[in-house]
Amino acid sequence: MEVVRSDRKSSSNDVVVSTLPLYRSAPPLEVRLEDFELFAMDRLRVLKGISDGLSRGKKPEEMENLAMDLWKANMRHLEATEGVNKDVISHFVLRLVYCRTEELRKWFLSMETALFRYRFHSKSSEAQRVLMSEFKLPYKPVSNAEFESVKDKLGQVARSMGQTLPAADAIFYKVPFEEVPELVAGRRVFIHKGHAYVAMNQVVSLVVTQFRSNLSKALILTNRKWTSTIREQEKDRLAPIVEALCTSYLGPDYSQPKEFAEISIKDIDQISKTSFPLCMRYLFEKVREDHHLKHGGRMQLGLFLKGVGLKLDDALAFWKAEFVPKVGAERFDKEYAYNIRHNYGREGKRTDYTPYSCQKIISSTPGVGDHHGCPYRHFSEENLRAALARMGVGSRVVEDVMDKVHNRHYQLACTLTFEAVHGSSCDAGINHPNQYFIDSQKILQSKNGSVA
Amino acid sequence: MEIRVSIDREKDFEAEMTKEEAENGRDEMLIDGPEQANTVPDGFNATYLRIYYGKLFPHADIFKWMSYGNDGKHPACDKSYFGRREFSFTLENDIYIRFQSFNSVSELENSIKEKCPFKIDIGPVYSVDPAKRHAYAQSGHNVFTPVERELVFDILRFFSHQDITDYDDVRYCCTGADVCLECWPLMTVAIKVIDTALRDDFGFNHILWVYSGRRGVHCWVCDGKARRLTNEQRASIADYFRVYKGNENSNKKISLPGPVLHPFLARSYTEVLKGFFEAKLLSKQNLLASEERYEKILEMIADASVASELRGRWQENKRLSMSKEDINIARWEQLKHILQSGKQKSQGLRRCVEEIVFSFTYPRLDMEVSKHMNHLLKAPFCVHPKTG
Repeated sequence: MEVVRSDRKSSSNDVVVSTLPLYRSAPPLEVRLEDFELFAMDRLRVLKGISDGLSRGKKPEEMENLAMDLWKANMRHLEATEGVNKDVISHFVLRLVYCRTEELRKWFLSMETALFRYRFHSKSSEAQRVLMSEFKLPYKPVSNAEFESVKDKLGQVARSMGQTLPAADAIFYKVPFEEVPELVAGRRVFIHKGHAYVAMNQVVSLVVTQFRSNLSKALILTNRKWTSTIREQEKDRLAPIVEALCTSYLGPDYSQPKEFAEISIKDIDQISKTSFPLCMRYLFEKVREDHHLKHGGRMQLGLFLKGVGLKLDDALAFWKAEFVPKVGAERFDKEYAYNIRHNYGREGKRTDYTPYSCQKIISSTPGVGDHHGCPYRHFSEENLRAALARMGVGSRVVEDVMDKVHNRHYQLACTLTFEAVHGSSCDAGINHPNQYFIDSQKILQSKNGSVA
Repeated sequence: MEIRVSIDREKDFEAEMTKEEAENGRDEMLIDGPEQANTVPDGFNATYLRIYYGKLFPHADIFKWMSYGNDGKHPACDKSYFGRREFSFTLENDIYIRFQSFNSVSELENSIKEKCPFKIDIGPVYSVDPAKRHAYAQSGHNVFTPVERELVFDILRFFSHQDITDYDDVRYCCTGADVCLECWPLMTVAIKVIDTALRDDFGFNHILWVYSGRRGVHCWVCDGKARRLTNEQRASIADYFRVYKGNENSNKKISLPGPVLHPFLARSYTEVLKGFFEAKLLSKQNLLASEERYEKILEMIADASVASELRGRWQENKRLSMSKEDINIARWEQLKHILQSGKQKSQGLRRCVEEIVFSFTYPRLDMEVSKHMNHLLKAPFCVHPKTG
């Protein structure tokens, strides 16, 4: 796969289209540099959505629908052939991203296998049969004669699982039992003389196992190539993109507050109690209490407030009012005002900084005297329980939240809190403090018709 | 103490044992129960052990077996094969040494005679000689790893005829480790169920059954295909055989869902378990003769009203003139009749009959023994430290 600069038009890419690519080898395509990153990010949204759904305990049928929806939403691209290219390209880019550590490989392997399983399962039996043969698994369908001789036993197996008898023209594959350990373990197949008779609808299991095994080996090889040659070669071009991709936040950046454009200082106290996520509420309380906040906290809260709609002048007024009792007006103007203006892009290189996403906040490392970070991760259990109680979260929900915390699903914990506080569900899950704020305001507005 | 076992023999260079039952075809699976207790007067001690290793222990046979033909002369032989097998010894004072390996039969024999281990365990064949494993530990690419290992099963001896109310996970028969003639038939039944499945379902041929000296029976499947199974595949076979789920807290621990049994379970039931239960176990163990005993069975019936109907009938007929065995059979017939009658709509209820039979007769496996290639299992022909 060749990556080209964006000013070069890519040549026409004729790739043979399979209904579901098996990603056996990197395709001989040219890819534009920007597509390199964008395609990968779109695919990553799909994989992360699947990961999210699985950790929320969704059932298989729900997961399949979710996966297909995510796929449609993110992977559609111009015409059909382009769609397949995007599929293949994005997969291979993500291989580079996720081959680099054991943990990354494990995650990627699980999600890609899951995605493959849902996509395979959604295909027609005819398409599945074609795909099976592409895997070049050495299994042939059972002949009619043999089928007749084992029909009774096959029927017994089906009925033992509460299924209907196989039709007269049902296809079964005869495979060595070693290939289908899950089916053997669950006594879901008839086994005779070392061969298992696998029904068409169980074939998914076979194929998925093979897919997983192929991808697992490929990832190891990719990692070797990455460490030995590619990383060095692509030091200035692809490597930075690859390294950034797995930690990237993929939602909106909330740098330009739209709907609730004007929040003034006098509103802030009130909104902090109703619509701020726990992390920001805590920081806000601390500022009010201590009349000070260390750098990490100022950044996290300050940018959040900017995203919420606090204008620069109001922000300056707010921070000054809080800090002056501690540090005095002169010191404030000298040491702190500059940074606030910097955050709003009025100083220095004039970057308009974006508010932090949950991912970023969770991975921060607050030290002694710091109050930033994610309470679900960084608070002690005792303190977290107390904070949740103060927010009015009922004890049963607190247990659910703590359960998520113990399993390190911090964003899910925050989502549960959101749902408890607002009395309504948040299907998308919380990924960004400003998202929490906006969703909260939406709900309150629709209830009261005013900024609560 | 004599232990005779029988093994299959195959024409090619796979395991050839010199013990003679081997001539039999696969149908005859003679397993002698342990003969009566030791001919050695004082039970067990180290002197007898030394004599045993000096004169009786079949060093050469073990070597030949575990070589799987690699001790031969033709070019395909892997000379390093036997040397990559792990043995472990338990010495006097419970000192345990692992990763013992030997490159020839004389090394094996000399080490055993010299160390006189109270117990010898056999582990897997590794990728490299276990004695050299540390040299390979650094590279981190899993170079020291098991590559072959027989598929093994440990069937637990269970069922106390004295204490039928005891439903702990593993129930020991008789007192301590003595074997009684009551529970041995259960072992035979267990072996028939598993052995048939290993041959007919899984296609294995080289199967060795050995009395393990105390807790039950060990099964060694020696086919090349079996030796090369991965841990996951071994676990799947063990799960295929598993019928008991749950722990001490659930009453029955057997659940046979579905309107119909899987062919493996159905065959085990009709060919082995049902016959044994109805013809032997029921009467021998007086499973339904007294209230204490039949309550345990009534507890397994999912429908309380059916259970109380039977209870009522049996309480009325306490003083029958029939002998005890006949009572058991008669009551069993009544139970079956009620549960399997056309009136019963719930298939779960019909299934209770099989579940009861299974819970008394179906073998219990120690799953952990089978699932991992590196599990160390007691070697056949070992003299058990506790039974001599």
